Amino acid sequence: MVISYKFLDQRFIKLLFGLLILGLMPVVQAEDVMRFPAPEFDSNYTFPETWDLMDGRGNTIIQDTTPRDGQAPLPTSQTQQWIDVGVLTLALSLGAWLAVKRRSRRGLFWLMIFSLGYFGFYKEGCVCPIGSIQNVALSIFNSSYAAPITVVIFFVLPLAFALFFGRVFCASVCALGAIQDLVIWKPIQLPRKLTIALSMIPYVYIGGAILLAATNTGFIICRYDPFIGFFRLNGNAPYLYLGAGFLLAGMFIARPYCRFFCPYGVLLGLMSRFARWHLAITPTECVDCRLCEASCPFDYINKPNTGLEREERATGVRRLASLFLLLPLLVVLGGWVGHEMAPVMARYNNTVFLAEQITAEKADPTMKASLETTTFRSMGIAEEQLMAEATKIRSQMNMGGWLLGGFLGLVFSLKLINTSLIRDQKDYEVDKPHCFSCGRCCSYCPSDEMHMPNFKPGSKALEEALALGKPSEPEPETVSAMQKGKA
Amino acid sequence: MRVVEQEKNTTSLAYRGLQALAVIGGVFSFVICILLIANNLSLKSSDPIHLKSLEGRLEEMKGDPQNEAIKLQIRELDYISRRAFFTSQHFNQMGIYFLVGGLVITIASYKTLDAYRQAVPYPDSSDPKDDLIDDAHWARKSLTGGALVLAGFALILALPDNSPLDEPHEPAKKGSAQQTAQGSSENKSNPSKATPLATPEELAKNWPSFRGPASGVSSSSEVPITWDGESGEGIAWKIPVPLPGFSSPILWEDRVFLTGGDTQSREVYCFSTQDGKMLWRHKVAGIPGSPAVAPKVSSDTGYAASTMTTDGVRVFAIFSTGDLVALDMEGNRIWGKNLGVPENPYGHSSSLICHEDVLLIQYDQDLEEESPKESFVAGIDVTTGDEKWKVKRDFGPSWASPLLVNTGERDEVILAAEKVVSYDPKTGKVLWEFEWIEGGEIAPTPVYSDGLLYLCCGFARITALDIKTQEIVWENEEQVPGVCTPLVTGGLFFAGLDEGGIVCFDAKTGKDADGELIELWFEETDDGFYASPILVGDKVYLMDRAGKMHIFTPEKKFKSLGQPILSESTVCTPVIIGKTIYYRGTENLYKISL
Repeated sequence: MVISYKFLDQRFIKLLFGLLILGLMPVVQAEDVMRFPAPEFDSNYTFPETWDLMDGRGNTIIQDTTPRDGQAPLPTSQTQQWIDVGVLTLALSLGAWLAVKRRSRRGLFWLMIFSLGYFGFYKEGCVCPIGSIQNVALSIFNSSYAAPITVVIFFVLPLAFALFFGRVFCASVCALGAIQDLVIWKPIQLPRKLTIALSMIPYVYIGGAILLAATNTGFIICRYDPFIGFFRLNGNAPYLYLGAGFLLAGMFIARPYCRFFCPYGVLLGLMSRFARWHLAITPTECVDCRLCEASCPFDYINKPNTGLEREERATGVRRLASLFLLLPLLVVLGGWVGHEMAPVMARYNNTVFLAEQITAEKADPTMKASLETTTFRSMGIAEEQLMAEATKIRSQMNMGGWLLGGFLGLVFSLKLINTSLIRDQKDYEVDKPHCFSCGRCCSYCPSDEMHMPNFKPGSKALEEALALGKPSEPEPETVSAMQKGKA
Repeated sequence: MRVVEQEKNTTSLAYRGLQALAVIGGVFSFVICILLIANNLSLKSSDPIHLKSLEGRLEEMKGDPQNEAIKLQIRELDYISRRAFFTSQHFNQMGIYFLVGGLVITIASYKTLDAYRQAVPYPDSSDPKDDLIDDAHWARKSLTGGALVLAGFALILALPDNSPLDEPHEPAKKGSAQQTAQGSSENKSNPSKATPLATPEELAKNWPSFRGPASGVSSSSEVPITWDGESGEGIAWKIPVPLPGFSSPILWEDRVFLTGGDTQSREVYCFSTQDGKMLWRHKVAGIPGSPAVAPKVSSDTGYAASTMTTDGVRVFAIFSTGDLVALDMEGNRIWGKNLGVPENPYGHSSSLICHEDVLLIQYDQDLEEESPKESFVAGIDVTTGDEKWKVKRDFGPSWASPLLVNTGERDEVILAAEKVVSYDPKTGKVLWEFEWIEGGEIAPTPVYSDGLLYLCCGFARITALDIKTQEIVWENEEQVPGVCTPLVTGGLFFAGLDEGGIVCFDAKTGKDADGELIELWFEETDDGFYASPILVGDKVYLMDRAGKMHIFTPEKKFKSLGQPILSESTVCTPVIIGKTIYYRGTENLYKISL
């Protein structure tokens, strides 16, 4: 007897999966830290373990008496940190080999699963190269902080690999990318207008993160990491819902966080642009069969543009000249916007926030003292000291606001200029700055003799595909027939 | 991308097996998820600490604390409820692992199933018809649109935003209406060495310290003699004071100042005399050396027992933590320092007083052997908070306040403790000393009148001392006030007693008409007195601790003029100025006006 699972087909199960992710939220939230008073009488109840965060000299920085679950991972030992560096190096090397040499999507997939397990669930998402941006920024701008060497290596290594082999880190090592990659179901091609409009966000994110880290305000990349709650099987509800939202959206918009938010992607893109041994769609020569055209769920394949109508040269030159002239103005304008935003950003700094609260309470005597101000007052620290510190941070933030805004103005200007420069594209090629090197497109290339899972040499399917892929428009009947599965 | 399906082996056993595994994994995960949600909801609503049955038993135990059976029941109930709670939590933890396992199986099965469904890709039926010019045009538009949205969002957040740090003088704005009327706000908000000190005339018109500018004698002649706290009759306004305190109010022009404090916070308040509105409130915190934990003090003293003082430009306040602050009239701190946490069995209560540009502080402490603490009197520069002079005192604590006296020859500041010592307020030089008492608890402030200094020590004696010769003129060990500072006027000595009763002595002799060393009269009252009497024209106002004002004539025979009552008890000495009385109750500040 044959059991029919038709009613439980793929769509149903994937929908179920989506619902489960949502359902996980309140459950995971339940694991949030629960304050619990001591028992009134002796019982078998034992207190949860407590943990201390020590500095390098063994002094206690934070003593937390709450259960370990839900807290940041314990500081790891030096040995463990170097093991992590070793694993990262090996994973990147293997990823580069699989992407560039072996062109193996399957290999990259399994490496991605390993990385998700190790860097995601085992290491609970920390340390990660994305967050290490902030450590590096803080150590550059704050002489009293030195980023651990292992964290610096985590920051540099994926960039170095990207410089030579493309974004193999995204392909197979990044846990954030991996968890999104797993849920890709029916990726849709987003309108180019939208993707371009969203392309400024990662720059805003990285600029803001560096500014806030440099002023010792906070590590927002880590704080707003949408997937960390999954890796730790714990977290605050809003962030878990944010992560679930990314995963649900990721079923249709492949790897949305990587494409439209990831701050580290900005740096990887800069490096990958110059990668000499980048993954290529075809290992030999592109025959323009167009079979890979829609194989990339991220839309990072550049199509040939030869033979297409171009703008008049004089018009293009005039536009470019105007954009170059506009550049300083946009930088200053961006700087002004950043400067206006500085007080808002400064408020994210605990010192400034506290100083503002204290000032507000002084200005309005009827205002109830907050927990923060009450605690501060009980600490016996001079108010003047707090105010001086707050003024210093606000001043730094003010300067940082100008720089951040100016940087974003510059990026915007350069993007405008870039979109006005049309370069010749002869073959189907990956978009090097953006391509995640996931290897999906490789198996769509009929020229790849090493991996042709879709095309057995001499098969009818290959012949038809090659015939159809030629630049000439296929006969409508052929297409129709193919659609009906009769080809 | 259009696809045609390759030959699929979808009927194979492996394919069907994987499909079944995926379904089972999905359903398993779903069931676990539902169970976890239910368990979580149950956890959220459970309160193992406040079980009704447990609380009922606890109540029972209060009535019968020795009942071992109830104790046993409580222990068992407590243990069971906690165990149930932690079991549910454990289930949650385990459930999450099961859920993750189920999801891994589901995803893995589907990813594998995908291999069975691999399809040959086909390109789009049409050639790429990209329009490079149009694309570039749209790209620029989209980019600009995106940038404008980001910039617009940033400006929407930023432009209406006002940081309180950009307006550090907000309190000044709030009180500006009153200051404009006085026309002296600039000087007040920028106190500096150049700021002229208040003239004696200005001081006399105000109420700058404990018992006013003239040792308990008000410049008023006509103030209310009837009011009723309960009905509100005669009460111009009544405003709650946020934190408790036994400090009495002081007044400068149109502002009344007070302190309040508890273990958590110490504050200075400024109220408008017009409507009682709180103009500002200054939290005394962030002072270097200030203790993180407030010292233990007696509930009869509290953390804000010392009355403030003002030089007309600044107000000064001191608390039981040893924190001393100078604020401008708008509540901005000019300076603040901690004098060391006072070692005082009841808590520091000595009030502040100003002499020209010197703030005088009596800081008597309990001196134990090898204690690093020391009693001292200090003259502090009002503008900077720096010590102008400081003189160590070799005796234990007192709770009295300094008395500033002009003997006709010189200014003296006289401090009453076991030893009474007079200092030069400008230099701290000791002018004279008088061994008065041993081990007494001295709270009433000394009073000077017509060459005599009146000293009171509860449960000990009243001493009238010749200030020039330091010879005792008369003493009495009966009817001695323990807290109330006496009023000496018209040759008579008036005081309220702790345990109740008002007493009157002949100030010159301490004797009655028969020449006996006894009071002239004693009027019994229901309640005792901590507040001090104030002379207003031909009337004496003395409030008892229950809130009843005893108004009587300052004569050799007691003659009551009225006993109006407030609706709350009090220990503070009022401000009586113009036609108005400002009085601090335990919770409210009152204005009683004609």
